[in-house]
Amino acid sequence: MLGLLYKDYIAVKGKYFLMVLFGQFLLLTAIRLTVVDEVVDHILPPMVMMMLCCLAAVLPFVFELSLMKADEGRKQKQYFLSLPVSRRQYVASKYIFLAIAFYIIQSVATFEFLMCQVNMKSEEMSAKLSTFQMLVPIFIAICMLICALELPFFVGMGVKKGMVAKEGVIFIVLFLGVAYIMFGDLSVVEEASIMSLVDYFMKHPEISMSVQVLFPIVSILSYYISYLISARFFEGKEWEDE
Amino acid sequence: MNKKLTKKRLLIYLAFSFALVWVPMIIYFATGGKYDNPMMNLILAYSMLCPSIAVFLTRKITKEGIPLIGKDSLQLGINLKNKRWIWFLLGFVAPVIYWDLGQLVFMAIFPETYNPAGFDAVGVPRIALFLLPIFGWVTGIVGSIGALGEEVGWRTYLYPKLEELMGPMGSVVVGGIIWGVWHYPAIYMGHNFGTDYWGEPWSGFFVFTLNCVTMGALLYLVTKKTGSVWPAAIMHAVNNSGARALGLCLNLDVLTGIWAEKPVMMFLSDMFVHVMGVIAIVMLVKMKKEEN
Repeated sequence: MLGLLYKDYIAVKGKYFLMVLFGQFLLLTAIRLTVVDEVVDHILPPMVMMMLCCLAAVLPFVFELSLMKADEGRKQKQYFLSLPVSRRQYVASKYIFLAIAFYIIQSVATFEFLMCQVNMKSEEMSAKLSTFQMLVPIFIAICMLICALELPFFVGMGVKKGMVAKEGVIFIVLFLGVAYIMFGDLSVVEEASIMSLVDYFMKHPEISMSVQVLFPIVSILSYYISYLISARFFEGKEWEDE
Repeated sequence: MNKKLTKKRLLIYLAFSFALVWVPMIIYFATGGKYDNPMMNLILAYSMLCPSIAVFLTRKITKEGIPLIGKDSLQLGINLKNKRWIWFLLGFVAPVIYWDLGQLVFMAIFPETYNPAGFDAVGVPRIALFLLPIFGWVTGIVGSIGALGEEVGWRTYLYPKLEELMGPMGSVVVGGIIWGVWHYPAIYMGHNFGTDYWGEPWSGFFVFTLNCVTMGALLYLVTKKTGSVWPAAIMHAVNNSGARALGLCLNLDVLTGIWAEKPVMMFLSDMFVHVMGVIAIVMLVKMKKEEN
């Protein structure tokens, strides 16, 4: 299992991604410790921080595709199936690898927000920052949920067919979005913003707490169920060139 | 077993883990830094990573290698087979059990501290309060990197090395004392007990060290039983997340005299940690006998 994880780490050029994450953290540290007082209590740093964290949370999607592509190219999959690991373990390694990526991103985000809080003087801004910080695990949970939905397609159908299925789903979502823009109530969209969401959570702590609890639990459960489905698909799969 | 070499490795590890934490804290304090500053949160978060940084540095210098799983490793693997899952579950549940039982005992000794109105002060409807322990677990896992940083250092390196030198009992007691002493600069600045309490800072040092000995035993037991550092990291993180439902209805302001002193309060509310810690020590000794 450890060997498979290491192979995946090499396949996605994990060393460079870690260096980028660490470099970003160091850069933010340097900026945070040197910025002037007027900037410290501005809403911009927490927002930039959250955007960076959300961008980082999308990385596992890139990994997901590179992992599957790397395995399908050069018939690596057949090679690994000849190794003393079961098909189930092979599928598990993909899920574990992506889960580790999510965990690392969440951990870096935790430290980046702590860094952002340093020197912050206004209590209101500090409270807003905490709510921003709360949104990051929720966003990561959503990304994990999407991964849980995508992976069975990639594992069971291969990258090509999986991408077709993914594009089909994206097309349907886009179609629904366009339909909503044409016929739906646009005032809801006009009022929606990150700040209004932050304010809403600050006013309703019970909803904020429920969301913080439910999202990660639902996404972890879905991730596990997704693994079981993928493992079943993969175990029953017959290769065209076998 | 080469005891001299183990001792040498331990000393290198301790030098790193103490220097990496004590030096920045002393500099921060000496330059007028205060405990109630967000900078201190950052230093504390950084400190929690230092024991694992110290392990990496020590293993590199002493050429022990950095194995991730297996014996004498960082124990990052997860294996739920052979009823190990029970110990993983204990990692999740134990903090909620010992904290809330501790609060119950506290309320039984001092009934006047029971204040149900405290629930409403949080601003969360009472019906949502059952979410509090789950909230503790979720936030604990989400922010477990700090606890993992400490556990990799203490429970997978310090304690096993000490066990090699002085057996399980000595490992837990000496390891707990070292772990406690490592926290002293933070406690001196106000961590856990604040300032202006009776016997400051020595009473705080004593109570915290006692807590480290018993809590450390519990954490080491789950690490040994599962062969993984994760349950200890989760237990540590949930413990630190502080989401305790019963703690909300505890009004400590009504206490007077010695009972109002934070070290005394902590000692009393940690009673079940101590009880579970003593049970853990007995189990560790028994495990060692069975191994031999």
